[in-house]
Amino acid sequence: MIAMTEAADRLKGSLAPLDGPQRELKKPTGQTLIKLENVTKVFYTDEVETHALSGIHLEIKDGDYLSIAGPSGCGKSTLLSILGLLDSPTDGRHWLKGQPIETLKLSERARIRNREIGFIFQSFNLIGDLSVQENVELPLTYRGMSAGDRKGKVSDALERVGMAHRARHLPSQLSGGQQQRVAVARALVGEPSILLADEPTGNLDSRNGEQVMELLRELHRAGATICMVTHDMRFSRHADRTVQLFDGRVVEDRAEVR
Amino acid sequence: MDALLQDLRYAIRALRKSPAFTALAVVCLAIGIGATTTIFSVVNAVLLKPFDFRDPSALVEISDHHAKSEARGLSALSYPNYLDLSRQAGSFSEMAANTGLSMTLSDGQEPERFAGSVVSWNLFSMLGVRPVLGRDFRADDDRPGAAGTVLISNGVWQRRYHSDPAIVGRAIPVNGRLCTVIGVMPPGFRFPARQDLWIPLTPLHAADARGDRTIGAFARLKRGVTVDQAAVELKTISARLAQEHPDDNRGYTTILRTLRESYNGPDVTLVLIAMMGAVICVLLVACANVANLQLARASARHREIAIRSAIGAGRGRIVRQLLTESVLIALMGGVGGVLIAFWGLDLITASLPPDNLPYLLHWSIDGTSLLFTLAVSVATGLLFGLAPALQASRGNLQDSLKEGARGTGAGGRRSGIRNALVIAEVALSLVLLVTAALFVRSFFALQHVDPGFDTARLMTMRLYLPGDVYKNDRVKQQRLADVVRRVEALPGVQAATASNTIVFDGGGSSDGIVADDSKAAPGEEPVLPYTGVTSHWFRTLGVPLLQGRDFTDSEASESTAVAVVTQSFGRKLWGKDAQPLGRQFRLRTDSAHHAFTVIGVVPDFKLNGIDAREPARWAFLPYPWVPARNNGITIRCAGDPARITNLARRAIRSADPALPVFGTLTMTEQRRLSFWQYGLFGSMFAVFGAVALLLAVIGVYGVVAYGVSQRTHEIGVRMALGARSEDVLRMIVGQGARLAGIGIVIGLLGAFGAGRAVASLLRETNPSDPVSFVVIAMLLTATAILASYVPARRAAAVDPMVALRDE
Repeated sequence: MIAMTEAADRLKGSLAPLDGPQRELKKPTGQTLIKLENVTKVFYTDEVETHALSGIHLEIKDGDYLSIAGPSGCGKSTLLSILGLLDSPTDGRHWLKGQPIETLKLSERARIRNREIGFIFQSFNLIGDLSVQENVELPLTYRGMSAGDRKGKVSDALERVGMAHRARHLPSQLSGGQQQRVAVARALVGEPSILLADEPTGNLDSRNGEQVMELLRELHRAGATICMVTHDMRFSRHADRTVQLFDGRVVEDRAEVR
Repeated sequence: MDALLQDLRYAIRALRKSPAFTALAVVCLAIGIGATTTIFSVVNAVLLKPFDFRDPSALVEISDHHAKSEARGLSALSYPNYLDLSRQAGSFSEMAANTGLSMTLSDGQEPERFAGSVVSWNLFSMLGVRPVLGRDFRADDDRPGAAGTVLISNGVWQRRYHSDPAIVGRAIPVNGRLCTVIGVMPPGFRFPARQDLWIPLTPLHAADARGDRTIGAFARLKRGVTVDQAAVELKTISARLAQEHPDDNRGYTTILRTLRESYNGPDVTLVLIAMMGAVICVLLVACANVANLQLARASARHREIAIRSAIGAGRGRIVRQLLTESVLIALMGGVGGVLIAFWGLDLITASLPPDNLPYLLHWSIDGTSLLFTLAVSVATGLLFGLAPALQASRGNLQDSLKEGARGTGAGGRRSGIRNALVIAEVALSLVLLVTAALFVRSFFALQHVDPGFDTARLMTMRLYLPGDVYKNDRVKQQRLADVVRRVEALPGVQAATASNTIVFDGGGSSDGIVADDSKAAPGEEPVLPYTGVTSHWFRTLGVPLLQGRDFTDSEASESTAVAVVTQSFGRKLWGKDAQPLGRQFRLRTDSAHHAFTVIGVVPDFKLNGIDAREPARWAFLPYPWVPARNNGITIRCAGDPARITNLARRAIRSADPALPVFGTLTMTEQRRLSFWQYGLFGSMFAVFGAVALLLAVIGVYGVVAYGVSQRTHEIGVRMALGARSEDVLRMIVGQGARLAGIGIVIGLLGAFGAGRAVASLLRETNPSDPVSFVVIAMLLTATAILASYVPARRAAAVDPMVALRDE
């Protein structure tokens, strides 16, 4: 059953443009969105110090499509969690839209996370007890938006990822590819300044992986700023720029040649 | 058998591996099983256990019933009626009689008053009880003019006569008359209530008139005759007796009750059923709690269970293994429960006023109780173990064997069961707590009920006028007047009075009351209580006169045909708006037809007891009209009434050293004793409710905490999406509050039903009392929120980084 509906969804996805003609393209401003200056992150376990990040300098501009690549354990996810305000650096400076982040209280960080950042996780992280619609609605609920306003935005986001017809389903009734598209809808429903994707294709087969990458590409074309962590070189090439990490340090920061 | 032993070995090993879980589960169940065993032991003693007589199910009690009687609808038989019944009724193989009598032993030692009984010679042989020393009564002991004989209880024999076997054959003065001790009854035997001495009936009652209703009758049904058949026959005979002796028997019907019914009124049965219901609620709450613990544990063990399945254990085998663990836990809880029950029974016994229960009702942890505990333990183990065992054995084998896999579907089902269990716990706790609150409110309301007179600074005591010297009513009246005079002369005494009746403690007589304008057919008149009082009765109690006047000293000491009545007595006799003052009435059985003129009217004070629902419709006559051997003295003091006790005793002894004084209590104590049972019901329900509440709190906490531990990742995701700590806090507390809310709604409906069921046991309290319902619902809500708050705090502190970590 899932296989058949999935096939239909894929067909639908390939026929319907992700960012339809009715949607106006957001024009990137090119202004600095995120800036990291000499950021380090050290984990302390018992008597062992682990330097996950050392001296990271990074600047992400509005409209960038950035890929953070590197081998397992090089600090990609740590960097992403700092960019996503899920974690704080041990040392160094961190700005988002010119605002220093280090001094913010937990509740302010939660508010910024809710409004400025959209997360796409490797394992989708949809909440099993909530329907597709409720999952996508969640960031707006935390924003205190009225039910009427939420409804329009949710259906808009689901349409953008081609999942509007699955709004009442539970995540367990969807395939992996479909679940990740719902997760993308949830990430972009609040119109964040940046989408942070952590190995978005890691739990998908290559065909579904390609589809999700195509989806991200479409979103970027429509003006979204994206920062993606991946260890798969095939997918990192979808980005315009690749930051290569090794042992917690940036060893290369290059623009992709198309 | 081998498989069972293996299951048992595995179970012991599994439980030893989780000592915290095992201890918590055993404690929960011990509380539930202990409460159930305690109350069952009482129920068993009072309602179930056969009395220790020969073929006790064939024993019945026979009474008269007057349709217009105010005194709970039952009255004693007269001796002539008893003789007619025993001769004419063919339904019984035997009939025997008894009547209570205070008896004083004055055998050289300090005179001592005992509760005694005057019995027909065949009573004990009919019950199948024989003296352990000496012999039983014989027919020739029980005839007019027979020499005095007495049977004594084992307690009296041991305490007063130091177990001397030579007591048999010795003559001792009982109520001043020498009686030969013919035997000693078995240990513990004190039939019918808490009697210590028994003397034959006929010598004292052979001359009784047919209107003197003083005899209680017991009978043994013939084999094959049912209670209903015997009742029909008694009804026929009593109708015939009413025709033959209309002046004394019209309006009366003879009825019978089983011995069990005669000992347990409907209230006792209802109280015990309510208590049993309460402890079953506690047990169910405990079961729900342990089931929840089991479910949580089963989640943690799903991998172990999957491995067992993978290596070939069938579902039935796994369920059996898990049930063995549950039953083992329950049996350990049962052992703890028995220990709690020993303590609980001691507590209940200590809570009862001394000498309040008939000797037949003796509770203990006996074989039946232990069997009950064993059965309850096994049933409990199956009850709380079955659902978790079935759930645990149903998991997806493949998913379970994958490291870290999450069975979202099964988890949902499990959480559904857990939620339902917590809802049930909250609902049951609420039912118990609301019922407790209703009883407690009854108790407090009764404490504040205005009895209609000032109970402070009043002392009461009883004295008995024993022996032939007090056979003469004039002598009784003079002695009592002398005693009252001496007591009134004591320093610190403001007033004293005597009567057969002590307020709240009982006494008095009842008879058909014939009003001066009565149109009722003879025998159809209302049967109302009356008592004889010496002068100063109303002044001593502080009961004001609404109309008319009190007795003068000469009226009170002579047989002057005057009466003071309560307002309700006047209304009952002459109508709501009539003026009783100056009206006259007669006692139906008074063959001299004396007409008593009402000279005073007093308000309806709480003479029958502080918890009486009906107004006291009493008439008070000068003492010489109702002389009695058993009299109550009521003394109003200037200061602390307890201080007057010794002085009063001395004053009574100075009047006659042979007068035993007993039942010394202040009026405040008498008042408290008249409604102690409400305090006991309230405190027992409160204890059960508190235990259930504690278990429910643990349940709410457990479910919410377990939910949080299972949802850590989800909470991390929510926080990554922008949920603030307070959003998470609200979500988790809301989860607990929602469960409690559903439980409270269901519980309120249950409590409404429970309130209706115990309505007849409540006083001055509405069974739907909104204050009790609202306060308890709020208490439970607050408690549930508090129980959820702790795990909610933990949830709010979840690191959103977990959202990025691999599952």
